Amino acid sequence: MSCEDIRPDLVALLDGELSAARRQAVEEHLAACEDCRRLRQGYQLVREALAGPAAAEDAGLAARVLDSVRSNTRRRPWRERLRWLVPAAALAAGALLAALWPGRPPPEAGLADPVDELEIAADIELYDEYELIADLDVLSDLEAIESLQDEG
Amino acid sequence: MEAKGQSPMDEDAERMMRFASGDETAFEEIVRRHASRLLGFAERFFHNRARSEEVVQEVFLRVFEARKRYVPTARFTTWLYTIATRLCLNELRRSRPEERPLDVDGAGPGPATPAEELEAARLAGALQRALDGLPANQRAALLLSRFADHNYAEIAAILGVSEAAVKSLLFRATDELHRIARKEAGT
Repeated sequence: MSCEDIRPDLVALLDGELSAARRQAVEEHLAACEDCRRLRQGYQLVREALAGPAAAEDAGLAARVLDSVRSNTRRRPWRERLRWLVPAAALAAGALLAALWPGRPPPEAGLADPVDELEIAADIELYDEYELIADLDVLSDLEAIESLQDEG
Repeated sequence: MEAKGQSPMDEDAERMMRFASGDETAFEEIVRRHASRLLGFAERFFHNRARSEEVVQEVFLRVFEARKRYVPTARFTTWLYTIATRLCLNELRRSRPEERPLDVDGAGPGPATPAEELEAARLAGALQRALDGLPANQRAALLLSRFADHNYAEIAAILGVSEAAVKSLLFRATDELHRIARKEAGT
């Protein structure tokens, strides 16, 4: 087995994420290859440097978080209702517009360009305010997922 | 720190179920158990305490609001960090580079001598800059692995990708940071 075959597995080896058979194959290679052993050591040092110490304890953090949550949830009940009212109103407006505009060709899919929806989901703070982001995150997350798939 | 592979999910999932039944002390317990670690996780993205704390508050607000919909199908922290990671990535996408001040405090174990301290600080700074320069998905995978202590299956669930993709993300991220570290060390 060559170094090129082994190296993509070195991080997973350090993470304890290789199958028993694969781990044995990698370790047999390491026993005979100083370059790969050095690389494993380098990866290990990077991992240790990244882990670092835990964040300093902040005694007031939990209390501030709880205050913030209570404060927001007291103010939000009417927004909970808007959460469904806003998209319902948007759909009704879209349907009305379509009915009043008979010359327009029917859309092929959905009411809006998906790219525009992504932009809206990512940028408009108003949606955050109405907690729609909880649903629209699905749209904005598509970007991250697509890039992961591209890389994977 | 919770060890990989164990399932403390049961304890926190149980707290969530109690919370869903109206026991708000269970929610307080969840906040006290996880707020500090989540803050550290967010700070790895933003290097800004105030902004990170806002994200943590938003995470727990989502948890609070999801109490009736919560179903314990995975470790509780997998669900919690799914919310946190998505909020961090969304927030990161919105921010401009100049809004990301560099703070390398706590980026590595304490060295022994002043010379080593200087060298370690220099390397930690280089690694932190390199980490900030990674694609967001690689950075998220690395932080979930090294800082939030999730295994590959959990990271895959959080990011919505396969375990093979997580393995690839972590290898490329670590290899890039190693390359930067070697360059800094002049080797």
